[in-house]
Amino acid sequence: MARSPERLVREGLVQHLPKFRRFALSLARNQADADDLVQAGFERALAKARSYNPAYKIETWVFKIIQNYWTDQMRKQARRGTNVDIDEAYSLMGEDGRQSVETRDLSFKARLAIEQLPEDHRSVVALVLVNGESYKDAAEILGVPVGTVMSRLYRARQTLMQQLDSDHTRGGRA
Amino acid sequence: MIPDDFELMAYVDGELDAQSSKRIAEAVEADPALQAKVDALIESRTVARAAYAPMQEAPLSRALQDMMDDLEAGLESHSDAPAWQSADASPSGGAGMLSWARHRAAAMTAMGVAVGALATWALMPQTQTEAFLTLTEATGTQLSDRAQRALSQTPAGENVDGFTVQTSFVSGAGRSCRQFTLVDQDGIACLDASEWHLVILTDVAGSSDFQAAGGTDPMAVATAGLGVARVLTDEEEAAQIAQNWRRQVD
Repeated sequence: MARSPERLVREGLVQHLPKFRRFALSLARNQADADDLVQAGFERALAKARSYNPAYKIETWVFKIIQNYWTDQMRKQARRGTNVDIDEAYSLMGEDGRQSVETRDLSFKARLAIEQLPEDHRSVVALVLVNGESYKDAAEILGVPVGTVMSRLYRARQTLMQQLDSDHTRGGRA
Repeated sequence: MIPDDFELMAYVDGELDAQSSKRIAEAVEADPALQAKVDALIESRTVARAAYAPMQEAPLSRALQDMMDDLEAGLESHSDAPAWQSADASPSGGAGMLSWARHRAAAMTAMGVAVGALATWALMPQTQTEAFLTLTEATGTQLSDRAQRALSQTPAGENVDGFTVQTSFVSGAGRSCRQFTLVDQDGIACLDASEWHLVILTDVAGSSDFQAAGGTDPMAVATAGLGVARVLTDEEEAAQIAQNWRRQVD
């Protein structure tokens, strides 16, 4: 059979949308930005669909496009350091998040902790821990060796857990 | 040998082969310090997933929803995949659906249950003088010599005056079959001995109001009846064309 690369890409975008959205959500700071990121990534994927090689997993190909777009956007912005708006972060949890300590506790603190990771660490966390990609696929998407993925992932995990332990010790949030 | 931290992480993330995984599992079981490290690694993954769990089911933004609607509509109106690939392609229960199930279709079979408009159109030469189909009262719709040649010699995806093979497959009985489009009709032909026989020809463009009984897609029914042992790759198809479609036996 002969399905065109363009069609394979279109099918892949539709079929794996939830996966791409989770990835974008891990990179962006809120759902609206994440959906904008997915849309921008999809537009680029469609624009270059003719060059898609079906020998590669469509998810890996699109993840890479989304990651590259995200990286480009971040580079364009002035380096502003960690900038997590507490009110915005709470709003992400929904109305109940502001009202219930139990509800907001783990996911809220975890979200803030991840937001404070360096971008290259956050990407690895997003791909491997949040989206379940293999080390090999994450390395392909990020354009780094598998060993680099592992070292970033390990350090990110350490930072994440230290941050959460620190919050726990202080008995406060972030 | 005590596993290092990277090995423990790879173990937790399921990156090791069975033998290495077993070795580390034994080491972890025998050493509480290693067990504590493994627990922390597992917890870090749990924490990371928990961070985004509340937002994963959020509705799509309007712009993204519009884009996905367009993508899905495009897939449905330009299907170039075989009928048997239509099911369960999408987690949303429709996003990846290929078009067959939604086509308004007029069922025509090899016995010549021809809907008038189709028979008239398909029998008429398009840009050539020789038609792809012939219609006789005795035998109904049949593939012409031109269609025989096209089915034997045309690679999938190549349009010959409105006739395009979409895919090639081996039926459950080991017959070589090809799904094709003829202008606005879809059909399947299978090879018996040295001749292609029409299994089904169906109007997918909605030019007829005829609906198959129960709303069932006739292409899907025909495909299910044939069975699909496997779809030929481009290379296998090329090889079959080169050897004039020697009968397939799996």
